Amino acid sequence: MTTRGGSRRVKPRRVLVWFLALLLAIISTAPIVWAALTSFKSFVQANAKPPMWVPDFYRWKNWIDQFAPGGEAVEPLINSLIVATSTMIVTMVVAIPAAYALARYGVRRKPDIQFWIISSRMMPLIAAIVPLSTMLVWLNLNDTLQGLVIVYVAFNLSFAVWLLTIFFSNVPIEIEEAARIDGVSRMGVLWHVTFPLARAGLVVIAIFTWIFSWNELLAAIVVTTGQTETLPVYLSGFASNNMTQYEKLAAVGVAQVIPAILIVFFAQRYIVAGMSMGAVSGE
Amino acid sequence: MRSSRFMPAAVLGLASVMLATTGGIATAQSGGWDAFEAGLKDKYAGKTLRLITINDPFVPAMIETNKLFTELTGAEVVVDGYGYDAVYEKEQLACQQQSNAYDVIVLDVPWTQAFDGCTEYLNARVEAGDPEVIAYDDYFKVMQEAVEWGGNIVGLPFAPYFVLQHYNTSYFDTLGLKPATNFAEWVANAEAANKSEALPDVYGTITNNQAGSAVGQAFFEFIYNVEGGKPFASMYPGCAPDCYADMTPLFSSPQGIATVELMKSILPFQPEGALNYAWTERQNYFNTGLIAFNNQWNVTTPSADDPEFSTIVGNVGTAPFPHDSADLVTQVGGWSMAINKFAVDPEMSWDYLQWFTSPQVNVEFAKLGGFPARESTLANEELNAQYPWYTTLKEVIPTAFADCRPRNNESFNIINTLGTYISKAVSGEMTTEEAMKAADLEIGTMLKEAGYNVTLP
Amino acid sequence: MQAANAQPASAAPAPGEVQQTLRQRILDGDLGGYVLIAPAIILLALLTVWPLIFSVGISLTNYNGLVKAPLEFVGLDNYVRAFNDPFFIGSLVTTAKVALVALPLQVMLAYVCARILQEAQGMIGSHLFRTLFIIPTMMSSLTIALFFRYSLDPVIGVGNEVLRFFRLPPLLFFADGQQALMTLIAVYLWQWVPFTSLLVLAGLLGIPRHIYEAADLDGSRWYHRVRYIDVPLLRRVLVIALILAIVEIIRLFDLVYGTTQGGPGTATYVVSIGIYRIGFQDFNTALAAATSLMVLVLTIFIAQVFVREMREERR
Repeated sequence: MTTRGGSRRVKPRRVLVWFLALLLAIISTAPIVWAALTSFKSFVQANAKPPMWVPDFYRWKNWIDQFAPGGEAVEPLINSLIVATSTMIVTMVVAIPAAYALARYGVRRKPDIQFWIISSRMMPLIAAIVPLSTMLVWLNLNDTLQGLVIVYVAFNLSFAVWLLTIFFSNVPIEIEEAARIDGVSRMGVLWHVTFPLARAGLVVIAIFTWIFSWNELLAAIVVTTGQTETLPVYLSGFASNNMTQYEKLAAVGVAQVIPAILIVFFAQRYIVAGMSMGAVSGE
Repeated sequence: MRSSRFMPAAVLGLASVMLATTGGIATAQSGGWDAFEAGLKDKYAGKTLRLITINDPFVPAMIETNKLFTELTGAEVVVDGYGYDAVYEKEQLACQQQSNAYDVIVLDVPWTQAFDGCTEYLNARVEAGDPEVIAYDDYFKVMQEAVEWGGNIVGLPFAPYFVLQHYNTSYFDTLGLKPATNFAEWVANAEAANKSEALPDVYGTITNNQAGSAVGQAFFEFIYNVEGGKPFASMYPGCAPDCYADMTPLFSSPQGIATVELMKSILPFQPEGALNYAWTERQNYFNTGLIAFNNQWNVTTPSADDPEFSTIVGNVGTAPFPHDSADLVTQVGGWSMAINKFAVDPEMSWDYLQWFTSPQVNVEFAKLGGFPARESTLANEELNAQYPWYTTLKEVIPTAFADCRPRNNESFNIINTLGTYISKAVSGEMTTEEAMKAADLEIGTMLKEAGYNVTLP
Repeated sequence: MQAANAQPASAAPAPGEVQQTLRQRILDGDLGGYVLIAPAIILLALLTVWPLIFSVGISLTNYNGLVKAPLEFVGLDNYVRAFNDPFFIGSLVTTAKVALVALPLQVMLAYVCARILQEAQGMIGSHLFRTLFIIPTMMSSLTIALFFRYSLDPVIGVGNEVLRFFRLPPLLFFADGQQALMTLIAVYLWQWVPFTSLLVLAGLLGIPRHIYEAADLDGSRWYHRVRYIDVPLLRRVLVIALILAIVEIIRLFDLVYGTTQGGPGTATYVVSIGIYRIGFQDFNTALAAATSLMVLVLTIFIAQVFVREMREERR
C-alpha cells in the first residue's frame, strides 16, 4: 500500500477500478471512434489495406456534403428530430395517466391488462407493419411524419405504461394520503405530488422512447417516402447493393449518435436514479 | 432520398462541360423529335413528378438529365433513392395499397411479373407514339423481352446491366495472364493471381458468396455456361415463349452440381472474408487493386476509371464472361421505368417515360454517367470514346438471355432459397448433392403449389 | 414495500350523503381511473389490437401480395406450412442458440460492469465513463451492423489489425460458419450489455450499504457477497433485464441483415430473417402472419415463465 503525505492513501484497488471503468468506456466507444476516423477518409482511403489509422483531419468533405445547408442528410436529420420528440411527448402524455390509474386505482382486471400491455410489445414488428401501414393509408396519414409518430407511439406505449406503473407504485402512499387529507383531489395528487416524485423514472422512459424513435428503421422505411424520411432510412440507403461507401456512412452514423450522447450525458443522473426506483422495489 | 450520394465527380464535371458546349439535346435530323419536344414545352409548369429508384451509381446522372426535363416542361422531378430490398418493398406495398405517392417507378428484370398489374400497360401508347421518339426496336432485343409479361409491356428499359469480366490490365500483364474464355482458364487465372510471387499482396478474385440473394444470383450467372446446364426444365436460351412451361428444378442435375462445385473451387483464391462477400466487396476491392479480376454488372465499371473511387484508373479491362458451353449466355439485369397504375397524372408520367428512354435522351444520360439501353446509344461514337468497355458490351449483349433469372412472382423466393442452400454447400455445412437435392425439393414443392407444372422426385 | 401497493383511502360517500356530481366522481372517485386510462387503452387498442386481429385473420387465408388470387379461407394451413418449412425450424434453433449463449453472458457481464461502475462512482471522470459506456445502446442497429461488417472484414478491417497488435491470430469473423454466430453474439453483447448494466447498477445502488457491512463483519468473501446478497436482492432487476433481453433476441433482425444475411449457410439464420423473407420478399403476407403469431406466442410463453418468477418472489 502506497502512502502519500499525511493520512491520504491511494488504494491500488481503487486505481484498478478506475482503470476498469476507463476500459469499459474504451470498449464501448472504440468502434465509434473508428467510425469518426473513417468519416474523414476518401473512398480509396477507407478501403485501404492495411487500414489507414490517421486520416487527414482537414478533409471535411464527407461531413460538408451531408450536413451543410442543402446537404442531403439535413432533412432526414430534422425529420428524425421532429418524430423522436413528438413520439416522446405523445407517449408520455398518454402513458402517465394510464400508469397512474393502474398503480392507484382499483381498475378491474389489472393483472390481465398489465400482461397484455407487455405482450403487445413482443409482436414481431415485421408482421405488425403491414396492417399498421394499411391503416395509415386509410387514414390518409401515409408518408407523413404524424403517421410515423403514431406507429412509434404504438410500439412504445405498452412498455412505457408498464414501467411507469412500477415507478408510480413506488412512490410512498403516505405522501399521497397526506395530500388528500389536505384537500387535494385524487387526480390532483397525480399532478402535484406523484409526478414530481417519480420524475426520475419519467425521465428514463422519455429518454428511451426518444432513442427508440431516433433509431428505428423498418417502420420508417415503410411509412415514409423521400421528403419525410428519417435519418435511419437515409443511412440504410448507403447499403446500396453495388458499392457501399463506408466513409459517408460513417459520417452520418456518427452524427446520428451525437444527440443521443448529449442527452445521455446531461440526463445521466436521472437515468440511474430512475432505473433504481423501479428496479429494486417494483411490482 | 435525393441521391447525389454517389458523385462520380469527374464524370459530373465532364458532363457539365458537355452540356454547355452542345447546348442541350442534339436534334440532328428528326422532325418527329422536334415536334415532340415542342409539344412538351412548358406543358407541366408548376407540377411535380415523383420518381422512386434504386440507389445505383447512375442516380446522379439521372438527376442531371432530369434537369433537362425541367427546363423543357417546367415540371420539377423529385427522385427518391433506396437500397435494393427497400425499393422493392416500397414499390410493392405502394401497389398493394393502391398508392399514388409515386408517378414513375423502376423495375429490375426479375421483377416483371411481380409488378404486372401495378403499372400501366404500355402497348397502346407504344403503338400510338412517334416512332422517332419510341423507336421500340432500337431497345436491346433482350430488354424488349425482359419488360414484357403475357404480351403486355410493363415498362421501358433505361439502364440495363450485363455481367462482364473485369480485369486489372497491369496485373495481368505482370503475370502474363489473359482474360479467361472458359472456366478452366478462369480458375487457373485466379490461382495464378492469388498471392503470387510477383504480386504477393494481390488476391485472385471475388465472387458473390454471401448467403441468400447474393450467391443465388451468382448461380444463374454460371448455370447456362456449363454445358447443357439449365435451372429449370423449360428455362434455357431460346425457350420463349414457353420458358415457364415446366418448372421442374434441375439444381441437382450434373450441371447444377458442377456449377456449385465450380463456385467452391474458386473460393481458395479469394481473400479470407470470401464467404461473406457480395456485390460491394466484389467491386470495392477490385477498384483498390486488391484483386486481379472479378465478374460484375457493368453498373460499377465506370467507377473503376474514376480517380475518386479507384486506384487502378487506366488499368481496367473488360471481357465477356467465360463459358464452357458452346455459346456464351450473359446474365442481364438492370432497370426499366414504368408508369404507376395509380398515378395522379399518367399523361405526365408517360411523357417523362418516353422522353427519358428516347434515343436522344438515352445518349445524354449515358454521357452524364448513365448506361445505354438502345442499339443506337451503343453505337454512338462519342460514347464509345468515353467508355472503352462498350466494345465488350457489344460482344455480350446479343448473348444475353432475358429469363436467365426467373422473372415470375416466385423469383425472390427461388433465388433466396437456392442461395441459402448453395451457401450451405459452399461453406461446407452440407455436401453439394444434399444441398442441391434439398433445394430441388423445396423449390419444386413451392412452385408446384403455386400452380406450375413440376415433376417432383 | 407493502405500503407502496396499498390503495389510497376511498372517498366513497357515507350513507345518507348526497350523490357526488360527475366531476367529483372523476376527480375524487373511482371513475377517475377509467378516465385516466382511457386514452392509452384506445390508442393501444387501435394500434396493437388491430394488427393482432389483422394478423390472425389474414393468417387463416391464402392472401399473397404478389399472386392476386381470390381470397380464400384456408384454416390452419399456413401454420402447418410454417412448421414444415425446414428453414423455420432451423431458425428457431439458431435463435435458441443465440439466446442460450447470449443471455447468461449478458447478465453476467452486466453485473460485472455494474459493479465496476458502482465502485467507480465519485471518482474523477466516472460520469463521463458512464456516458461513454452507454453509447452503443443508443445507436441504430443497422448502422452498427453495416459498420461492423466493414470493420471486421478479415482483410481490410480494423478488427484484425487490432488483433495483430496484440499478437493474436487473425479471425474470419462473419466469414466462417462457426465464427459467424459468435461474432454476431459479440456484437449484440457490445450493443446491449451497457443497457443491462444500467439496470443492474440501479438495482445495486438500491441495496443498503449496511447489509454489506454486516456481511464483511461476518468475514464473507466476494463470491459469498455475490451469491447471497446481490443475486437475491437483484432478483427483480435481473428478471426485468432477462425479459427485455429475450424479447430483443427474438426480434433480432438488423444486426443479421446488415452483416451476414443469415449466412454463411444458415449459421446466423434467425427467426426474423425468415419472417422478413416470407413477408417482404415473397410477400406471402398470410404465411408471414402465421409465423409471426407463432413466434409471438412463444415469446409470451417464455416471458410468462420469467414473470411468474418475479411474482413468486413477492411473498
